[in-house]
Amino acid sequence: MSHVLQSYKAAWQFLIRHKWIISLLYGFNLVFALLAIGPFNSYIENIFANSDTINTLANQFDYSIIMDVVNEYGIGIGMTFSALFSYFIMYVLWSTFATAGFLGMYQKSLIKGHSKIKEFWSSGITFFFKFLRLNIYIILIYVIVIALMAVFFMKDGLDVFKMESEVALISRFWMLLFLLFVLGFFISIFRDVARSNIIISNPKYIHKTNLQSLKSTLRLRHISLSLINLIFLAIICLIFYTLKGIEAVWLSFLISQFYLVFRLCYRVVRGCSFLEVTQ
Amino acid sequence: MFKIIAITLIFTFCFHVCSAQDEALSNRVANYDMDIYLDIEQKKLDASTQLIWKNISMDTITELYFHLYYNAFRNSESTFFKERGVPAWLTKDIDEECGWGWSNITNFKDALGNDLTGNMQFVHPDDDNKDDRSVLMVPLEIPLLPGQAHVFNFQWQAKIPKTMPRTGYNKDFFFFAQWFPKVGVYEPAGMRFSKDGQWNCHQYHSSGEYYADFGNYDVKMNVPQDFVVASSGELKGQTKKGDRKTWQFKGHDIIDFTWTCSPHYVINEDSYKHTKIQLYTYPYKDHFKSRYFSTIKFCMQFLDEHLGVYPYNTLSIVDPPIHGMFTGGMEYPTLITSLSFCFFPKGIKTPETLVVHEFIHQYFMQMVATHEVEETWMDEGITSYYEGRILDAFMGEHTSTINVLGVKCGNKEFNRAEFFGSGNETIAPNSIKSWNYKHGGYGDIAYNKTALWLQTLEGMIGLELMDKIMKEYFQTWKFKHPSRNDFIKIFNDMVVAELPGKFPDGMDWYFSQVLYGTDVCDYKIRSISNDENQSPRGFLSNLEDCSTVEDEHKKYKNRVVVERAEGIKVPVDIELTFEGGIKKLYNWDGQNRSYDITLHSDKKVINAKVDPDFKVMLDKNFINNSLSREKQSNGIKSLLKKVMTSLQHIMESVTLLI
Repeated sequence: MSHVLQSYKAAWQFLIRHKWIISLLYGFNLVFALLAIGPFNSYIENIFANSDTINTLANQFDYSIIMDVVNEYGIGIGMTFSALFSYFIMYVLWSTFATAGFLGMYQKSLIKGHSKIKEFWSSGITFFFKFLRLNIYIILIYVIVIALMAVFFMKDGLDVFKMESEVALISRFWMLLFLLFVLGFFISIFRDVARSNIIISNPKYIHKTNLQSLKSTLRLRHISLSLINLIFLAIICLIFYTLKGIEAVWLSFLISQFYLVFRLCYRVVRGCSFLEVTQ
Repeated sequence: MFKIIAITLIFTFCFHVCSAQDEALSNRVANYDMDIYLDIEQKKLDASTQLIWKNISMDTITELYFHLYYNAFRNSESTFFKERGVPAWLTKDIDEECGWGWSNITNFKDALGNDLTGNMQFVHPDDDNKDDRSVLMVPLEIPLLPGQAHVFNFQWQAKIPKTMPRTGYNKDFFFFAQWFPKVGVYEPAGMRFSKDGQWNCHQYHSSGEYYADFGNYDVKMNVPQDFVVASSGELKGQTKKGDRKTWQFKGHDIIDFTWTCSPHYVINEDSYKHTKIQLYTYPYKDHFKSRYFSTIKFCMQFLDEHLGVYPYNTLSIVDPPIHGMFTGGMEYPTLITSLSFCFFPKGIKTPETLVVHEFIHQYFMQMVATHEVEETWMDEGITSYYEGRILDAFMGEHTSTINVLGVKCGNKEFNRAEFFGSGNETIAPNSIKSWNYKHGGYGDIAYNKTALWLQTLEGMIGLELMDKIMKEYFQTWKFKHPSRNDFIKIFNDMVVAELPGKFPDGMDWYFSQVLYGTDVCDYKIRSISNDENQSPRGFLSNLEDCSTVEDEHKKYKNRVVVERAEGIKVPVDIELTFEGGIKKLYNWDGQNRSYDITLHSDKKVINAKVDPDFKVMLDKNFINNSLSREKQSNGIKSLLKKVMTSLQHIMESVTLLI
């Protein structure tokens, strides 16, 4: 357990020493969000620029206005969402690159005791495709898990006229949702262990490494480390949701940005701590 | 001679029967005494009916017309099936278990014992579909003279359909709506649109509902002992015999009779004034009872205060199980059905919406017994209008339909969005018969459009007068059969009396647009300009001096142009805001395609709004109702900030997963 805590602490120390990583991740997140919102901005300005209704919509969810937009100006919605989706995909690719970058850098610092910025970029390039492949596998795992759950959910059919009541269906839904969370917890551990193993051994093909990682997913130290990381995430989520009611526009914007920064910290610390524990 | 004596005796007997009840609220034209045997194995009803029918016209009646609604489910060739086809999901296993249904009169006699069975024939007044058997004509041997009431006895059987719209069985849940041979309505000359006396008895159509006369019902249902019966009317007794139980219900001054039974019903009770409210639900949905009771009592109080008293001693609310959901959300005299699922959170207001909507029907279609087939808007539309008002009053505006996780929507907005999002805004006028909505739009026009134009009407004449007129309409026409002309007449008379300056010619101009027309409505602010005022110049006073008059004048010439972008014309308010926040209100009759307000002032107009209070709910686009000189950059920035931060977090959340 002390090794786990030590790893977690070391990951934070690394992050504090390399604050620029967070700046970089945050900067890219902000840039992608700004780029993604561009078409939406034009679209909104086109509809609302001189109408008072924008103020209503800015202050609260308003079904009337949203439906008037859909009914009267709906043609632009599809295009706007397509643009959003493209930037979304690009962000996922960037995140894959960045994760490979900071993990490779951390690995170097563990070996040499120090690291350089260029190692972030070189590691990103080295491990990007391997991490991307791992991401695809994880997506496939989720797809398979969700498909299996859907099959189980519908095992007695969804014909309402054949059901005695909806109670069984709802109980099954909650049970599967819980199961999905549990599986998600272990899939995340597998992902972090697999990433660590890829960084450590830099294999040509990742299948073997993945199988090794799968075997060590259920190790106590991995589970404990994941829990410690999740506790941190839960605390920052709780703080954010407590402060969410603040109505001042700029203050609420700042709070949500801080929240995002802490979430980015969580991502870096989680990855680094798993790497150290897996060493 | 014998016949004359017999007829006189029958008439005297019937008159006695009809008037021996408690004080009549209606003319009690069609009175039924029925004995029903439910065979749950064969899914059949065996029944005998004694009908006392009163001829309230000045005509001699030589035949009776009956609705045999269950014959709409006899086969796929009925008008009901041919018009729309019953949705496939509802009847997909109908052939596997032969879920088809029928109704068959095996023996029909008048009070003298004349057997009329052989002369009965199916007729098809609406579409000449010879395969449709939903209307039966029975020629009489003894005609009914004006004012006479005759007794008719008939035995009949019905095969109960499986999961058909609004009625049938599934598993051990049974729901009987439009289940018995029901006499049509004889409309004497002058009633509704009738020029000469005529029977009004339409075939069963897939869109639209029902129309029947008032009367008293005494119904005995013999069902398995463990079954609980919920029914129209009041429970008068239960008798056990072997493994069967007979439940007796009596209803007075009602236009229909509906019942349901299941061994699983649990009953909860509450009351409002003299009315006992009973909720029949399934055990796993029992937690909805407080939501149902609080809503229905508020609704009863609202209608009590705004229209008039609910005169019946009972109200039964049935919340069917999931396998009986084909019967949910319907209205019958003193019995309504809702629909809920056990997982509905508090913020999903479907149970409240349904129970309110169906209860309002006790007023509009049950007491004010309009023709639901010929003039659907008069029950569904008026009901939708009150639904919005009551739910908003009970649960707050903008939250009365959905209030979950920050997503909020009020009933009125929901109906408005449903209408304008339907694509059916102009497909048909409100005035057509229900089965003439051949290409869609029945629900959108009859329910939502009517609610919108009634809300707009309320905005024009004011809430107070609207309430006064609707109360007058209800009080004048309760326990009668009004048509749209009667509705319009009351509006015209009272609007002219109360608002002679504003609407001296009544409201025909409005009804002709919204009821008979298909236009939509959109008023928008087209432009705002504030030009520097020019002094008068040129040859002003004579042909010698070409000059400029330097007199004191206002600094700006303000001009606001308002446009009527669509067809409907209604008067609208226009609010102008000047620099410094001063507001001025103007009125426009809304007739021309465009209109301008031109002023001379020392301040610029910075904002203009047409219909600033959103009284014209028929307006299809509220976004263009206002125009500001300056861009609303604060609002846009604020919205973009919200969208952007959400996007940032969503992007980061995905990387959390993979």
